[in-house]
Amino acid sequence: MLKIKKITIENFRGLRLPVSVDFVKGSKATSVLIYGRNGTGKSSIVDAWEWLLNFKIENLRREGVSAADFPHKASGGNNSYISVDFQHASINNATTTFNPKKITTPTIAGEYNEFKALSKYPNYLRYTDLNEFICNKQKAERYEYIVKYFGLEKFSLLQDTMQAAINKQTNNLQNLQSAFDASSNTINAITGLTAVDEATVVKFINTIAAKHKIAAITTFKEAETVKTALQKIVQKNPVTKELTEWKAFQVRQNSFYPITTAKANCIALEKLFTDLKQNEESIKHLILSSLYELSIKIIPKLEDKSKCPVCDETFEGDLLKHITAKHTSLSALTKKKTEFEANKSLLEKQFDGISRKIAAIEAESSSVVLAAFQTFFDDLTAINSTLPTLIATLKKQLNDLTTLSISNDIAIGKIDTTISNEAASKKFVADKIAALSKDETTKTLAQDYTNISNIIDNFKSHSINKEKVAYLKNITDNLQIFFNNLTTYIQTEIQNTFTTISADVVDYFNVLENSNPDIKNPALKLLTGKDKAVELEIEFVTEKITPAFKFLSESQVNSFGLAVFLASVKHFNKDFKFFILDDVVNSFDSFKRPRVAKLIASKFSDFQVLMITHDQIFFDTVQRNFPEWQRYKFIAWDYATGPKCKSSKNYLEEIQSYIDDDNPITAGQTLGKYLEWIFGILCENMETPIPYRVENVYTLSDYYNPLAKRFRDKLKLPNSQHKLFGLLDEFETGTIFRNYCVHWKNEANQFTTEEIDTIFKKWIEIEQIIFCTCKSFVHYEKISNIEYVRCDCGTTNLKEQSLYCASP
Amino acid sequence: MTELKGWITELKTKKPELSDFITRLEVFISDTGFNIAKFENAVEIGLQKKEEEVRNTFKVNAENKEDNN
Repeated sequence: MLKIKKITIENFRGLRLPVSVDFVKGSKATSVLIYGRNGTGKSSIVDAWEWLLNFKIENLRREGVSAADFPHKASGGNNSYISVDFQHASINNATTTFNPKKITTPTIAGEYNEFKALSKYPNYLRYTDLNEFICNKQKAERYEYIVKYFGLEKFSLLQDTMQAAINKQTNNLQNLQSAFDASSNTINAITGLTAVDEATVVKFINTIAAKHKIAAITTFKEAETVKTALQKIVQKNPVTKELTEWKAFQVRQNSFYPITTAKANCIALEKLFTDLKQNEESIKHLILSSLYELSIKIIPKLEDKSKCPVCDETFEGDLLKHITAKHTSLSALTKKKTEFEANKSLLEKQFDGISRKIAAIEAESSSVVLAAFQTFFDDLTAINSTLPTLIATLKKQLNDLTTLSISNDIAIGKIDTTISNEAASKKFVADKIAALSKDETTKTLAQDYTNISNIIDNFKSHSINKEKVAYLKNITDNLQIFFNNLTTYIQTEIQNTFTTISADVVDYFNVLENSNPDIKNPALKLLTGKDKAVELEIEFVTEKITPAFKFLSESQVNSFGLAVFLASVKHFNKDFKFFILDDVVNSFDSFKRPRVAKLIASKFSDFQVLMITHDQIFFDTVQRNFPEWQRYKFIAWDYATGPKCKSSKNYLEEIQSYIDDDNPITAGQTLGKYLEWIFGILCENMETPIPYRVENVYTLSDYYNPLAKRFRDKLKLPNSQHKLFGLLDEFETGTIFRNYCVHWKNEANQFTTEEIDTIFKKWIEIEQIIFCTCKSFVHYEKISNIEYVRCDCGTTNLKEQSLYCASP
Repeated sequence: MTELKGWITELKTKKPELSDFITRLEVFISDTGFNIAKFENAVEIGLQKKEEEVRNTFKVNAENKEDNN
């Protein structure tokens, strides 16, 4: 079994000096708990771990962060690495080091490939990942979460990119098919026949050839000889020559027009640009918009509604109102920026289209036409001289633009002039053709030449596009078959994987959501006929409900997401039992957070865990429940050195340490805080009635006295003495606990180290019989009129006969 | 769980009629997905080749040249 000994990270993201996370305590491999406020560099550890596994960091990629930004800025990309030491027969170390020469491919060292082979499934889960699972109501986005944690990310990535390729080639095929159909229709119109084949085209050409005494042809490849011969006849007749040239130009002219004005779009874009630049500072904060949106959802559910979930700072005033105002302001700006980007893209496409039209009509070679339309062609040259610059400007990002002045460009004015001349220039050409067509022989000769030219061009285009369509259709058909097989495979794997882990998912879900018997058997359901849709299903009473959101709260869906992650890691990384949870408990209501610890204790005792949190209470809970874990506190961060971290003691170790240092005041105060916390949990567990204090200030006695009474009431038996009663008696009378309860917060009262030590030791004795290895204190419950005082797993049962002895 | 490359090999066996096509497709497939740009470029070259072939058939002396050769 692969076990981690130590993770060392240096010069990566927010970590500058080497940060070592030690997974060995004594000589045993253990888990690690890291506490730190937001912004102290904790999450850089998860980023480094993801980079170690995948050479990329997906959530940063989505935010547009390049791999070049992974090393700490001050390192210049040098000596930026994550190194993991292992306890294993053949795998000692795996290291990835940033490679400045090839930023997407870090240098690997140690037994990296062997380590990677044991880490097929993603074994890290961030708060944001879980939140996406809950908040993304889009089925496709939930599908992405599922495929990632079922180890199908590469398949899904192939599916995504291949779908894009199929869409593009299908579009390409349609364009080729349209061009093929257009040439077929033109040939039909010229010949007056429905068939489009070489024989029909050759027959038509021969009909014209015969009319002008030109030798007949037998194959299409000879068609140019007829055209050349006819051209010679046309050249001899200047009127016909000019007529054919005007007719050819008329075709080009009809393709050139219509053109729409760009002036109005340019002015609108410039106005948006000016507005946005006036708010440039706010634009930098647009990235926060989604966080604000999420906060608006979260704040009403928080116990402490003044603590900002974005920056973790306490806000004086109405936080929800403040965040809503910020969000509204950014939303308006977001809308404006979106509108700017859309208009910019539209204008760029419009300029591209005009540019293509100009290129086509500028191919005109007739000297007669060029002379008559000299101003027109001069204008086109002027437009073409600045249009590429305008297109390049529009391709730039808003941040890169300092000014935007396109509406007054010479090209924009010339485009409008060209548009205003459309009717007159078309009339000019039509009049020319009409004037030159007065003589019937000339007109017929010109028409024959035009027909010969057109049928040759269109049959060539028809033949080429026919082959291209066949070629591309074969590719897209095969690609689609491949894609369908890929989709079927992913869907089958999702279903099979879920079937494999479903028992565990249900089990873990129940640990996290143990209060509602009517909601059970969470399952995944694939939507048939859709490539990327997966929905959650739940059994509500006796009915299966899809989507489960109809009946599940966000918190319950959260439990589902965490259960899926943990079950996947357990089933599929069998030889590397390790996972990272980064602030995941933040997605849970506070009363559910201890259940995450219980879940790990009861189902993952053989796993190494790296638990990262910025929640002090959860940190205390985990410290208490897992005293054998290594603990670190990230207490501050600065650019030059990175996080300042230190090993951390849990409450019990801390109290003992103060006692050992003969520091009774701090030991007493720390013990007081600890007892206050534990008494609170026990009062809740035992459903203990406590006196109400309007000033909301409670002494330890206010908790302890009703609690002790509650234990005595619920455990008393005639003629028997419970073991706990004796311990409570000793705690109350054998120590100065009563006096301590009143004065522990008062530094002026000097308790001795021995007095604090006695209270502490006595309480630990009590804890040993009311706290179970399943990480839960005993609680009171009444089922079918039978009363129980037991822990969550039932192993610690205070009603057990062995805990009673005869009354003295 | 099958790796991507393993699945592709299996598909070739399962669909022998697609085997040649998949072999040609494999050069565009990696762990980072499907290389759309490279694929589009290859398709474009294929289309140009088709056009070139058809255009050659329009040349009057194309057959004669081939016969002479």
